[in-house]
Amino acid sequence: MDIHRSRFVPFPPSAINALAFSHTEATTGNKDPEGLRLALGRANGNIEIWNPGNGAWQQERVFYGGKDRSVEGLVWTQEQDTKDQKGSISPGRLRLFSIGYSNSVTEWDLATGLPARHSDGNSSEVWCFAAQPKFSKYARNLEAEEDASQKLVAGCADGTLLLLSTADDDLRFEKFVARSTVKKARVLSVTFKDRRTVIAGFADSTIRVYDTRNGFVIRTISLGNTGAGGPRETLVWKVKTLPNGGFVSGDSTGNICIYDGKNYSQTQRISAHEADVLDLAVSRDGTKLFSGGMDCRTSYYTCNQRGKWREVSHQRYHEHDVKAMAVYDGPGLSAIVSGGIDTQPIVVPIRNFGKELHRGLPALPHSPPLVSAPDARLMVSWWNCEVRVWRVKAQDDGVEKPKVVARLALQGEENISSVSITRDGTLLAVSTAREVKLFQLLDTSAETDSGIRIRKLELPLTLGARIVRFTPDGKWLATIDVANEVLMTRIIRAEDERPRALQKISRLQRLDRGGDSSGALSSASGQYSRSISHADFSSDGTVFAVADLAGYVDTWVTEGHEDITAPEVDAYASDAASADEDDESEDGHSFKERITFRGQRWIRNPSAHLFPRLRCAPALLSFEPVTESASRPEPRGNPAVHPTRRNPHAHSHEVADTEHRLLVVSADQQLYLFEVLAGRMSEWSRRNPPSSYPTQYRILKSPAKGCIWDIQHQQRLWLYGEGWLFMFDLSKDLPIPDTVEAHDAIHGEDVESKASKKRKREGPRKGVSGAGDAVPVKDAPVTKLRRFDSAEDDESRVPAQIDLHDTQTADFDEEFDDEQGALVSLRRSKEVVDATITGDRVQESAAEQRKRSPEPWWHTFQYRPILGLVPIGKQGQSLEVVLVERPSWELDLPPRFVGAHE
Amino acid sequence: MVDANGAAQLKRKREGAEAQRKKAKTGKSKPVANGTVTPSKKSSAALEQKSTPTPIVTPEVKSDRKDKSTPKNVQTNGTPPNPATGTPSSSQTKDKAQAKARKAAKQAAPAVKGSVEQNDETEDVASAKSEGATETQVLAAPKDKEPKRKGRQSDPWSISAPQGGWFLPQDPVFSPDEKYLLLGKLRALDVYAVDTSLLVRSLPLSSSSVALAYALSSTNRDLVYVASSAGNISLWNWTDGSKLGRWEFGSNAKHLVVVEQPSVARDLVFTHEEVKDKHIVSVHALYTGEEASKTEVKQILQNSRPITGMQVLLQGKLVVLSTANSMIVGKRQKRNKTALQEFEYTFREFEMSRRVTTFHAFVPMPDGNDKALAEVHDHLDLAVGDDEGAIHLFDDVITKFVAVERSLKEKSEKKVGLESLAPRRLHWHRSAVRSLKWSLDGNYLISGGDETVINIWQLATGEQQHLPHLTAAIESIAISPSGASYGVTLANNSVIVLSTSELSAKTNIVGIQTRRISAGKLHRLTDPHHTANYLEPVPMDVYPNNNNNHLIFVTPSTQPRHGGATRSEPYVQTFDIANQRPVARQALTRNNATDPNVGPDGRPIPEPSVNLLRISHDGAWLATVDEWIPPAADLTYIEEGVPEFNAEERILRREVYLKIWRRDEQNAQWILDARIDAPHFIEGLSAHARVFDLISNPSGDGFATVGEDRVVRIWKPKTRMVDGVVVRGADRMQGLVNWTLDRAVKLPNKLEVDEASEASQETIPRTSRLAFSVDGSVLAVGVSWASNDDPGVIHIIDTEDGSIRRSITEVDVTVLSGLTILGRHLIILGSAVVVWDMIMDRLVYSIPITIPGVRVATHSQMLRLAVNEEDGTFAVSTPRLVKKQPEDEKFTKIAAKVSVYSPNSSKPLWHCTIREAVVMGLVAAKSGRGFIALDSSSNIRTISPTVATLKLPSPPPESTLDPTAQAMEVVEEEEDEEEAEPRSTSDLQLAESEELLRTAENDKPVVRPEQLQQVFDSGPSHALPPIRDLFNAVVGLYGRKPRATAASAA
Repeated sequence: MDIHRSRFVPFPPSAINALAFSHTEATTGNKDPEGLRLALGRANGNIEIWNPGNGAWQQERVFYGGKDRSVEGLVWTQEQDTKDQKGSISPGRLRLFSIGYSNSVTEWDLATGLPARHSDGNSSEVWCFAAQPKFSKYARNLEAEEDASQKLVAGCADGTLLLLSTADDDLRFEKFVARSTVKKARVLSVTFKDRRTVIAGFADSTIRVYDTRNGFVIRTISLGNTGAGGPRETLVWKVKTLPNGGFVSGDSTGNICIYDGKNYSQTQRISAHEADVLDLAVSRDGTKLFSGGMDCRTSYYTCNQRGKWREVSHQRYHEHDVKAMAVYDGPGLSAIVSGGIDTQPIVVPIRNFGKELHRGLPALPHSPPLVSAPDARLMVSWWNCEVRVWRVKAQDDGVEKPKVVARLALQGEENISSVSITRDGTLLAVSTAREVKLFQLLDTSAETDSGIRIRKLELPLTLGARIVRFTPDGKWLATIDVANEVLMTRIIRAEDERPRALQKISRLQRLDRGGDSSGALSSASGQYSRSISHADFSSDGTVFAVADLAGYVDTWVTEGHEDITAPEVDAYASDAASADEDDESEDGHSFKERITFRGQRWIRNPSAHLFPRLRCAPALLSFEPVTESASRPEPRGNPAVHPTRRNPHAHSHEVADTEHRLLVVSADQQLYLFEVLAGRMSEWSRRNPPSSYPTQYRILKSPAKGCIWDIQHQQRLWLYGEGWLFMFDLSKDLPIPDTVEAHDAIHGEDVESKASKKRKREGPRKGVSGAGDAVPVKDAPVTKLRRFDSAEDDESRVPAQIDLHDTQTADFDEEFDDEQGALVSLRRSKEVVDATITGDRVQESAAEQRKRSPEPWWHTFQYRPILGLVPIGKQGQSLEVVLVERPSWELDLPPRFVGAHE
Repeated sequence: MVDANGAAQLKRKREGAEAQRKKAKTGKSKPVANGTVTPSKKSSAALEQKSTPTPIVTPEVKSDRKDKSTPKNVQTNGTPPNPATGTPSSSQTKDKAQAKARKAAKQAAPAVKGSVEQNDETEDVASAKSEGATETQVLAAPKDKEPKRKGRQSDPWSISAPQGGWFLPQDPVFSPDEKYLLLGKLRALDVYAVDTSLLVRSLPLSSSSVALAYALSSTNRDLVYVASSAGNISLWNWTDGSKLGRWEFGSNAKHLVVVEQPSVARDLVFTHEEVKDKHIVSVHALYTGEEASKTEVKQILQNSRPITGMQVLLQGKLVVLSTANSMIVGKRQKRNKTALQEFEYTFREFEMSRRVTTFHAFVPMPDGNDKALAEVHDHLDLAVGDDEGAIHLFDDVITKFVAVERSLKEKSEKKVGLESLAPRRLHWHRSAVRSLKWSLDGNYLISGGDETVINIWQLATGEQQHLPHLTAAIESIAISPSGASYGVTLANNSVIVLSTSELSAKTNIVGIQTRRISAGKLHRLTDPHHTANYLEPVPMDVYPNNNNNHLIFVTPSTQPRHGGATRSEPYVQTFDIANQRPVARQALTRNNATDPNVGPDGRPIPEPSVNLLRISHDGAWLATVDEWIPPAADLTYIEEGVPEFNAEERILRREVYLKIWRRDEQNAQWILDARIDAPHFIEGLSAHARVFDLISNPSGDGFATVGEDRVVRIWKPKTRMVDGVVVRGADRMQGLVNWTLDRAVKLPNKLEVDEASEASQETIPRTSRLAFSVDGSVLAVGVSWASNDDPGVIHIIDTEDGSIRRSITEVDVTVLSGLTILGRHLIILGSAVVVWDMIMDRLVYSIPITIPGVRVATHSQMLRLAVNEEDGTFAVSTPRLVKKQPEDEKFTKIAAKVSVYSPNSSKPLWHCTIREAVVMGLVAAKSGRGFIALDSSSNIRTISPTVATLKLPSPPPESTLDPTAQAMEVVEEEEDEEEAEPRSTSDLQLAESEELLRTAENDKPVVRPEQLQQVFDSGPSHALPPIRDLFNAVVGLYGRKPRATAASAA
């Protein structure tokens, strides 16, 4: 495999400005809420929704913003929980609000990823906002039930504080809490102390406490000035309440101050930062505090029983200002997430601080902003609203760097959500939240060095799309629109004329999976969990698959063959009685339009319903390319299908029978290899359960981003994530680690050695709080503890040592693995027996052979962070790929205020 | 012309040279072989026959193992230097000594419990591998004392007790009133006055062993416990210097902590001892006198890992210990039982992932009355510094340990793991934290390390305060009892006391700061890969105008005990021998005292190093040569993977300066007068060449240098004239002076000697040495060529015309390490001590020097030569390295032997051995007799003829009239006697215990000049006390009664 290792793609970094967890604590029992999500707002206006479930930290959705629409703040609210007839409590709906550099507060529709509504009001720019604590029935001061919704308070540049009501699924201005002062000092931070008290930090070195009911100033706290030489005013960048009623402020002098909640007096001041403190995070029990600031530090404080705070440690997780922090401290996940100008979110454990490491989440988008047209040796990259097309020369042409051959800046200010290009590089589709555009690239032959001309083509689509995909030959364009509708557009390409898209669009229906519309994350316009996150065509363009966040995979196949003689569009309304339309899901619809394009149309894969639901959200979906040898020549047109009077819309019902294999990688790194037409897992997938994956693969943190198939001469799959590149040889089985049972059966070992065996198989210990791995012994300040009396001397001492990691950490998946291991070994051995009935001896020799042959996998961590990996070069040649890295030191970050010289 | 001349002469002399060299060589080897034969007659030519009465190659050179008493030698030599010391007096002393010994033997038996017999003790001493244990060597078996005694009195030379030395690596101890600071050295416990930074009193500890640890008594603050390497602990009263008791343990206490025994007002001494790889912590109740039998010991901990630190809190209720990577916290189990045998502890040891370098524990006291003390909650706050510079702050450790243990035991649902200890992490130090202390109120933490910065952490707010730019790395910090000052030990052998309020220095106590070579380094000399550049001699000289009082030598800026890169030596220190204290310190090159001393890559930035130093004959000028080479790591970017390029680049970038300094008497410092860049240079490369030697003209202003370029340059001052008028400076009456090159003499290349090869290749000599004759008319240059088979050459240059008059090739100077002219004799120190008569042009004698197991190059680095014109003697210092087995890696014994020779006789006039050290510098006393030696543990000794001891420069009277000083006079005198004896007699039997000496009677009080000096204060005359007091004091010294009291207190 030829790798063009490149860093030329100028993917601009976009600072993290806001972070918010949908919940701050577990509402029920000892489980983290199902709908727990992290919203992450970036300076380019994108809002990313991350699912921290099981420590996977999957970037599920991106709500694309646009130019000058930086997200400056994010807040979640949750409606009251509802009880249905059966008495089961369904969690209240979650709502996400954001502020930017504008005077309104925006609510986002979680299902579509579009702004749902804006607050009205003619205030000045909103600088900060906060949500009222959730209404609790058990609180002492009972309020009116109708006030149960969480209100928002927004602080503005002129010093006003607005109270916004979110009741009735709306967002309305309710009243002013504070009018602008004479000095017009900006409100930099605001928080609710309780449901009726608001604490706001101002730019004129004061903190003011308001009563929201009447707007009275309860207390004004002045921080004093900084002394001679410094700036006149202290900026109170953040105020946060503590569970005990007190609150904390972080200001521009680098101090954090702790205040008493009753008399609003300052109890402590800790100087822990060399520059401004920008954000604070408090653990649920109020004994741990984190602060992040402009000196790139994240400081950690604890509080002892007497309420005295102290700084325990500080560390530079970030390379630039820490701008935002969010905290979730639940029974499972217990972590703070911080982000800043260096674009990388960092997860730091709370409960297990000191026991587990911090962890960096991928800073680059999960779906690589890179596509390629291998036949034309073109590569397309995009960011915000720009597209760039590069021509990559073969490596033996010398060391010529890839050249930009075309640039494209979309009109309007929407960020690009998806781009697709055909294999020969002639058609390019670009989608934003507002529109989908189709371009023709001319003169794409690899020989010419000149640029590429771009011609815009008309598309019948009117709405924006989240995903666009071309079939490799460019005949079909699939678009997934914001409402998760799958649309197919036929593009006619002839030798002598311009490609044109047919006006008629075919809508593909997904299987109705029933499902819980009552999920906390669903909105009026749909379910969040059914958002399609991945879509792909097979290499011959006959199969299309989509996967959604709930883990469902839907597939469609083309029916019939392309027939140039057939009419371009043949639409008719099919009635439900139509005998051979066996899609039961469509039974409900009595009337359905059926469209055939040149003798072809898309129908649901007959065995689509056989696909299992994945255990968690998919991270990657890709078809294994069908080798030319495997695909048999297609007949031209559909023989023996002619429209007759009886059947004016005659079409072939023939479905391509070449088996297509679809790879889905889930967020927990499991590889599912489906045989699409048969609707089942492939043999390889069945024989190689997750327990047989190499340890190096199982301990990977960042999910798979994409893959490359190398099936020319061998069956190799190259998977990559942000920091890793893995190769699996699908023609061989992965070696099964000796299962404990098998071992025991042979050697009859006792339990102790069994335990020790188990331990060996583990790699680095995984953390449990959602952050990084357990702290290795060499980094922990204290590793062992033992106790002895003075009477004992060295030899007689019992080694009653307490280790940092006591041995009782449960092995969660171990039992499951072992169970499966038995099944797998059965499957494998059966096959061997089937193949060669001679039995044992063969099995042995097979085992020997396995030993001798190289491992059927390979990996490297050499490349990081990987923006994307795309194939380049014509089919039939040996695989050639472009690997684009965006190392953090190459990021074009603004100068640092503090420690710029370091 | 000069070259041609020299070459011609060389050629002429070559034939004879071969023969002579051969002789010199055989002279070197044969006596070693059989030790008795004088081989010269058989092998030598007739030339010598007529010229010399058989050059004597004495077997005496290696006579260390036996003592063929020196008086015999003296007689055979026929030059008894001191005929006055006749037999009567010696026999008298002998009798007395015998009496003493008998008495001592009687007393020894009923003495202190556990006191070891004398012989054993001697053996202990011999086996004790104590760093810097220096003394006049005992030359005979301990038993037979008689011949020794005889020899002692007639010994013509003597070596003084060491001055200087390094302070022990322990926190300085404040006296309770904070007026005095107790600083331990290996041989003495010094009491300094905080106000004046002056030495008030020195408690001379045993001369046979070295001090290891000391601690003030907790009940009587006038008493101090001292643990010594002889395996004992002694109790001293430091206010009057009396020794109150001694206890033998048989093991060396490495740490000593004294606390008050609860409910009994007695001291409890906690010790950490090492016994056969076991580290034992025990607690002692020590009793003296009649109660001696009540002394008891309780062992409380035995550990296999070495204990690096110990702290005892709350009257022994808590014991905190550190090992290399763990902390041990012990808590006494039964609090109410105060009997020693019931001291049972529960220890909790927790391991740290980093190396523990220092720690300090603190227990907050609720308004410390005794009742509260008993009930105080065991709230132990522990600060631990690690080798990465982080400070971990554990608060209330014991409670947390208990919580962890309980959670484990009960298997409760809410698990408390080790992470609950969660220490606060204070990380400012870049490298290891060396010392760490809590302030007395627990609100601050004071830390210091190699950054030369004291860092004060305010724990509540996280604010830090820095006190930067201390002169050297911080070794230890102590907080005074009232908290008003910090005592800080720095890595340049100095101690400062800072006031806590304004962080200004109140006291500055400086020791001798010269290069120290640790015992471990010395023992590893055989390592073939070792580049022992630390063995280079320390440049030093005697300041001529001040009665030999002032010695000037080069010192490094800092020498942390924990190692680190070899530092360069940019400073010069002036030491006053008479007053036993350094008087000045000055930087001679650029240095990083106030600049960043660490590069961005974490490597120290090297300073230039002063390699050579000379004072002109009149003391008005000082010439120094300093050299700087960029570190190899800084040039890796240029080397392209070829290390040779790097080496070449480093040579190209080398900076060598010759600096001439003028003495500014007013400010007592040297002022740079001239800087000569590249005094020698390699022409082809236009690079600075190294300067091999620098000497001053003994008869007039001027210096001579010789360098890698084989050129001898003579530098002379020239009065500056403008139009015939002398240019005068603003402050001086004399004219301004320019230093210019007076003459350059190119030495012939070694190949030019050989007619056959006309190759004009420049050869860089290995080394080269210079020597001036007394009148400055002759300059001798010795050159050692780089190859080992070329014997080298010595040229005699006429300074008048710069011509080479004679080239001596007869002497083998393959590795030249010293060259001097003594009258008509040329003395060459290389692989042999060679004395060459320049007038007769013949070899006088040659004494080979061999050291088995050390490379010649290393060996030659360790030789020192000094010549004293006054009495026509010269001194040679040679290392003595002994291995048990020849193939051993390490040396078992290291010593330096200093021999004094006269050019007429190959038998040394006198010699002595300095143990566990190497002589780093040896100079002759100017305008007086004798020599001054500086050794590798920064001790200075004067070697002088015994008659000359009386002539020791009487220093300007100097002392405080401190009330305690008066009292101490008397005490000191008594110690003086026991000190004086080993000092003046080379072969004193050290087996005699001090008690023995103490009880001996004396005829006459011996009054040392220092004591007189203390009487006559150095202050101005108008500030002197009334003459009556002075008189009384003097009479008190001379007229006092010999003392034989109080010593039996032990």
